[in-house]
Amino acid sequence: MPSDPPIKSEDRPDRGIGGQARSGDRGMTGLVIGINPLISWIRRNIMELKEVIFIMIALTTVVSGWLVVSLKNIIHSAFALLVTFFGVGGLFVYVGADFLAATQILIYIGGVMILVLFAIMLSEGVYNISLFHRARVLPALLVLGALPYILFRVIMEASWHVRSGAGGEEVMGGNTTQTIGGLLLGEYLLPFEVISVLLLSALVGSVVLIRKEVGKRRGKAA
Amino acid sequence: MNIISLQSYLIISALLFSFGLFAIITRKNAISVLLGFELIMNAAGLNFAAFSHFSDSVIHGQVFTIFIIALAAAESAVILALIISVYQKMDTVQIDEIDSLKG
Amino acid sequence: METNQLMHPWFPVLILALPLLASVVQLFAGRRLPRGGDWVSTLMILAGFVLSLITFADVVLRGDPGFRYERAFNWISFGSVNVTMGILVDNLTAVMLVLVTGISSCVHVFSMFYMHGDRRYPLYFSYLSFFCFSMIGIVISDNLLMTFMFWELVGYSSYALIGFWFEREAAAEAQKKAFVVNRVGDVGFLIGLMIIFYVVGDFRFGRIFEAAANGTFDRSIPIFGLPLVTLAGVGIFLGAMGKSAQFPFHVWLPDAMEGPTTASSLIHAATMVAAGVFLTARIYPILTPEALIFITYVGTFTAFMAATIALVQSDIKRVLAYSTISQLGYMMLGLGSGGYTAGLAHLFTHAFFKCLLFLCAGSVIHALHTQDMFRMGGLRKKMPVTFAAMLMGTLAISGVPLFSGFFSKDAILVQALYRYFTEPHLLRLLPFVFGMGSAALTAFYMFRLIFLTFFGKPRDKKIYAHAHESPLLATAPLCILAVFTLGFFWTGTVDIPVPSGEVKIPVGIVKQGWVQEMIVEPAIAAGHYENPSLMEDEPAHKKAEHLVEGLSILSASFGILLAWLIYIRKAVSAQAIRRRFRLTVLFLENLWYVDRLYEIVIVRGLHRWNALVFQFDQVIIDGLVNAMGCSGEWLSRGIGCFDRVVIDGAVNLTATVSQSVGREFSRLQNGKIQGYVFLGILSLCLYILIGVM
Repeated sequence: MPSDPPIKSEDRPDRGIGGQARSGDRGMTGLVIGINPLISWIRRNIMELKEVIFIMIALTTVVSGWLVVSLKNIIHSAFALLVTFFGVGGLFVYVGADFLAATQILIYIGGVMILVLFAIMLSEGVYNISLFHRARVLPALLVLGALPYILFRVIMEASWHVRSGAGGEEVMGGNTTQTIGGLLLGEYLLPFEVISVLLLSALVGSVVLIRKEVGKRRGKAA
Repeated sequence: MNIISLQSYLIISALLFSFGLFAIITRKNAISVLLGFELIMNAAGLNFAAFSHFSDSVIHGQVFTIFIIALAAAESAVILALIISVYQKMDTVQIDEIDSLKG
Repeated sequence: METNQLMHPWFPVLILALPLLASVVQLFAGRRLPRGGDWVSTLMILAGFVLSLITFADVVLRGDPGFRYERAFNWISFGSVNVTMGILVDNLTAVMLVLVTGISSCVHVFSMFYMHGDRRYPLYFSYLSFFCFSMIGIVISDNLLMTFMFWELVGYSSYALIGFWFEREAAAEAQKKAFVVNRVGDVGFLIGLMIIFYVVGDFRFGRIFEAAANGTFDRSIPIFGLPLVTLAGVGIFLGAMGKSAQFPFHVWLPDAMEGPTTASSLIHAATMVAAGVFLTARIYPILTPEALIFITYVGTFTAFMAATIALVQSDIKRVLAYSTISQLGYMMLGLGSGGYTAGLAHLFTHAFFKCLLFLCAGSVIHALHTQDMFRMGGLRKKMPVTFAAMLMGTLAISGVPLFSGFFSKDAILVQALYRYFTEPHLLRLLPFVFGMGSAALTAFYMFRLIFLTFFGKPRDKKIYAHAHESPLLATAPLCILAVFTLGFFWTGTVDIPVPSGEVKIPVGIVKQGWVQEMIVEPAIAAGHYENPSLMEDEPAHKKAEHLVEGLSILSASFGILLAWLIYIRKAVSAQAIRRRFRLTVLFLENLWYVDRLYEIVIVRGLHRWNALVFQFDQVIIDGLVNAMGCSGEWLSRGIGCFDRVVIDGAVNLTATVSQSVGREFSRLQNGKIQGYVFLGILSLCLYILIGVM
């Protein structure tokens, strides 16, 4: 290996020093801006930049996904989930779903993660070290070795009907946001409305659930 | 084969799905289970987006992915509310100890 | 007058019914009637006697030996079988009716004297009347079944009267003995009855004789080499043996002397015991030569045996009892030899003189209160009428000429000898020889009785002092009966002039002795079984007659002389003879050991058999029952065990298995959601795998 310049945190925007997962809000920036000699070397020698970045994003996603599952501290696994969300958003970009990537980050990271973190903090069990259920690990591993295996076999050996011109060579032209908006209010109007009702009921329901308990707690405390 | 191809997306989503399932089955903390659940939803959404990209109708899968995201959000809200209320009742978030429905 | 029609057809039934009525009245109301109701019975029987006389005049005096009046009505019918009841009146019936009712009347009158003051005086007359009813039933019956019914009734009457004083153990035992022995004979009667019914299909005498003549009996299959008809005849004769006290069924008659003497006189002397002879005469046409030989020998043996036993008896009634048995044997001898008329003639004469003898004995017993002849003696001065009557009876029974017994006994012996002459055979000689011997013995022991009782010095002074003649009530019947011991009543001819139109008495001319002419066996028997009495061989017959007349006079004289020598003149010492013939005397005194034999073999054998059967019952049958109970118990225990272990085990096992399986499976439902999810995924994978493969 020729001598590499020391890797700076700016170069690896989704990893902190020492490999810790960091919030992935620099991922996008890195993707757009980050061109450094390593990348150009890789691009020159092996692949295109696009593919390298893709691999990196993919690895990030998968690894942080595993970390979600395996980390003992629940806060840690929550943040790993955060990184996973970022990675998935990046992948969305590669698929040509830019609006989708934005939505993903907004809602998941901005909404769901906040909720999760609040829930973790509200339930005091956060200080308990959540261990795996010992008896279940082995069979689960067995099953979850088998399941991916099956899926891999299927994915690899199935003949997918792929349209010509796909493969990430080009991001779809045109304004996805506009098209999606049009579809939502056009062809998918009913699902749209239903989803809104669902959201409403979820909102009301969660409030109701919390309220009762709060009321009861108050009664108990008094 | 091409690195960036339908199969790769599918592999990624398959892995994420497996991890999420593993978490659901194995983890003791209820919120960990929720995290696993989120992983699964993400994997599904990724699946849809990938397929939409590689199919003839480019945009329609994405619409569905939006729905999935919305759904996941709503669901996580409700689940968290549940977890919190359960925590307040039984003073624990360990799923193993929430077994009043034991048969 | 038409043939075979009675002038007064209802008389026989009336004669039958009157004593029955008297018996019933006596039974229920006797105590309340004045004098205990003895006049009821006596009047009824006297009425019966009168009616019998009229019937006798109607039937016998019309001079038709073959007269036969029958009336029957249907009694039971089932299927193709008709059983009838009815009456038969012929010459024999008419004579028997007169005999029974006449002798009964005398006995009734005498009983009023003899039984006076008895505790159960009315009952006695009830029994007596019932007996008359039963006996008349036998006499007028026209079929064997009806005869059998009345046969049994007569047996019952005898039982009742023998045990009249049943408080005495001896009387109770005697009545049982009489009935049981009778019953044994009745088994033979029943067998004969069944055979006849089987072959002929009817019980009526007329039908039976017709069937015999038609050869119906010959078509039947012989059993043990004997034709059925012989067996039938012998069977019915066995019944007659029981009733008429022939050997070996004679054992009850001496013991029957435990009953009142008057009862004995009627039943066990004159009438009931004669029923056997009567029956044998009735079934005469179906008696085969083999059966007749059997009858002859039974009679011969009985006559001889009883006569010898009578020699050593000291009880006056016992002597008379054995004498009766002996005379009945004579009658059987006569019938068996073919002397239908002879045998029946002796029945008639014997009835009268035996009844007379018994009543006289009763008179003596009543006067002296003892029955032991060796305590009597010299009574002829104190009881002259009784003495005279008894002497006449004794002369009759001994076969002294001019008395009735001479004629009838001689007739029998003539017949026996005649048979020998026509069939010179030892078989035919023996009956005659023993019959003659018995006649001599009879004369001896009867005169022994007379000499001991009425002659000599009184042996017991005390009772002699109390003795006195019986009143008229007693002596009148004695005299009446004594008259009939005279011979001419029986051998006389009857010559009735043709009456004028108003008096409706059928007439006929009877040439020979009326008994000989009128009492003849039924013509239907002629020829079929080669009835020997119809074999006419005049010279032989005449020869027999002369021989017998001489011999019998000789033997009677010998007997009387011997008795006179021993007991009057004391020329020969009775004690010396006893010592000389000690063993023989012992044998005789023990009644030829017949009773002893019965006691040992039958009675004790029966007891032992009973004990054996009891043991069998105890051990085996009870054991069996217990074993079954035990085995049932074991079985149920085993089954219970099986039930508990296997079946309950199976049930428990099922429950346990279900429980464990359930428990294991319920662990799946532990409320841990993650487990459920895991299972779901697992199943999905399995499905995929299986589907793929």
